[in-house]
Amino acid sequence: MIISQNMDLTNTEAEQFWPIYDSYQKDLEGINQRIVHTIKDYANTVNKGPIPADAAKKLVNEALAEEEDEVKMKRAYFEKLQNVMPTTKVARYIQMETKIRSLLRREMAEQIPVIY
Amino acid sequence: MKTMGLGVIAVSFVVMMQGCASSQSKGQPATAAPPQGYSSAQHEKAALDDMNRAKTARAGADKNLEILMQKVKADKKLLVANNMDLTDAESRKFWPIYDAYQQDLQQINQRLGSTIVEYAEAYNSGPLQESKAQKLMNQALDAEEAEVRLKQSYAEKLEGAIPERKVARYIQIENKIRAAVYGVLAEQIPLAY
Repeated sequence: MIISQNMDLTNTEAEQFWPIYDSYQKDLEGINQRIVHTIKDYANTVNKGPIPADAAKKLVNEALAEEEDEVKMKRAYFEKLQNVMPTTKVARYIQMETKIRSLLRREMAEQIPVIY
Repeated sequence: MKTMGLGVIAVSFVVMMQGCASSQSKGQPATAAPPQGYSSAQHEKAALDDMNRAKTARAGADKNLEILMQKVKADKKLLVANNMDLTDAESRKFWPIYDAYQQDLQQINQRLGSTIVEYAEAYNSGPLQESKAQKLMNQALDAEEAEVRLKQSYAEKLEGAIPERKVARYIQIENKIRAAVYGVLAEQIPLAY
């Protein structure tokens, strides 16, 4: 809804944009699930007492891998979308996606307590 | 006419250097920069006034900005120090790595900063050109990728120096700070048209 209101797509662009958008959302959903899984693991470990070194290492590695995959995915979709519509509109779309994701990340960063 | 005010740029810069969203420096960007808030519909005259004021105030503002950034840097270090509970032996290993990391992050901040300035100039001079959109988008994605890689490399460096759980804690703190920075940037920077 937010996206469609801001994109001003022509009919031809819309036909090509939305399937790519849907597949991007599905891939992002995959990342979201990994993030949720990591957070649950974290909560379980933290509730059991001081966090063991190997668990801490695993959590950091997972969180960093998710972040890396998300950035790579963004670039891949930026390139895909450039084949079907003007770069200015692709840039606008990526800006919106970045805004939404950064608010989500900020929310998570605020909610999740620091490891002790 | 929509313009991206100098205030937005200055605020973005300060925010990128900002140690912590909740530190006292939060309310200060307005003193170092002209009032911001031209990201939505705003009439031309106010924007021009803003620019003129910015020009005359620039010399002073640059100095204020510099002082503010120094303060922000110190605030961030203090915030990290207060949360890390490092032993003396850990401290000796941690802080040099921290300082090197901040210096590398600073370069990414500068890349982001110049991308924002370039975007603002393009944005204020009419519809965005295709080649410009491409260039700016690539710069933004490059910076984002570089930041993640940098974080990975410093996490590995720290693993050899302090206990794993403290590495995790530090990365969390750094993430919180960067997430706050990116959140503000996302709010401040208008969409490409």
